[in-house]
Amino acid sequence: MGTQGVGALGGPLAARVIAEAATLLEVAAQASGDAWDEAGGAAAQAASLRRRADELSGIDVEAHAAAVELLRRRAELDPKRRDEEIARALAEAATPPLALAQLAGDVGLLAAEVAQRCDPDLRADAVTACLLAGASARAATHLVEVNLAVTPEDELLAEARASASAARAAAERALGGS
Amino acid sequence: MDDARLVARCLDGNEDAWGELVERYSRYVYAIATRGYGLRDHDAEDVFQEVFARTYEHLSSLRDTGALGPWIGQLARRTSIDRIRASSREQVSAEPPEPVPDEDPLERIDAAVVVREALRMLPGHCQEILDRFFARDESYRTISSALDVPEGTIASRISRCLVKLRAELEGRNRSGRAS
Repeated sequence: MGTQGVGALGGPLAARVIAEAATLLEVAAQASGDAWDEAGGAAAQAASLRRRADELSGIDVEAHAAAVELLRRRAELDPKRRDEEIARALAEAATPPLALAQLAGDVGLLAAEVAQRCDPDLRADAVTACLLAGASARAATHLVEVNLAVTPEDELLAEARASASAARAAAERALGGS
Repeated sequence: MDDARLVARCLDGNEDAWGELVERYSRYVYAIATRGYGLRDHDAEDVFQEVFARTYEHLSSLRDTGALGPWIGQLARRTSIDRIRASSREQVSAEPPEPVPDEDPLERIDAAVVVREALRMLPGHCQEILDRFFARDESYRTISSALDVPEGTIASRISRCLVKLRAELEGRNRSGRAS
């Protein structure tokens, strides 16, 4: 988030895509119950991941709006506390995209599992979910990268990148099996 | 001017300060209503009015005057949720009645207690992994690190434990019906 307004919609949209990908998995798993004993468990996990994505959507907007607001009135802040307050707000704004990247990584991992074990007729949906999760993880990682409070060596960034990498690897596995 | 001073001036009855407070937080409130909760413009406008009316009414009860932003954010979230609920009720009343799913909160609590008891009958590793994923919302990566098992196996481990949980619950149901 380098300037005012940038990134305001990217996070919520990534969250929505993750939620939709999780919904695809939930449906694919539920419909595969005849051939897969653990399908109900996969569906339950997909539902949990979808709920988390829905919740993160709102949190991301709030953290972003708060940081933008603080940047807008930086000149009015107490000079002694200005840097500290802005750094804190920016760090808080980076947390939801990191959580989104991790969540997308999880959806990717679950999608790879579902793609491997679900009804073959539904595999394409699971693979699609996996690809969507991979793209969302990369998008969320980008939102962490452009946050002014995040340095290249930051642990947050390393975690987001690891999640994106896991989601990408899962997508490759899922594609390889189709 | 920081928030604490702004609040103090508002409480002194300074109209300019009130204008500044609304200006400072208007986009924040609007963003929560529209982007956070997907409200349409006219509903978001209602939320906006309601939030600042409540702010005006209850500002004197704000203990930490420096925490104005989080307080207004909380008001905006609650008001947005109230608006969504109100809209749902309006839609329902305008449509033909449909069978209402069982939403009795007491029954839900009972069901949660039964599941919690069944969980206690599972092997320890299942209790832990299900608790971490479903109750604590931990990621597969976090669970993998904590339990020292490969990340790619967490989803299938959870699924297997859920199969055991279902068997335990079905056993309880059968014995319940037999007794």
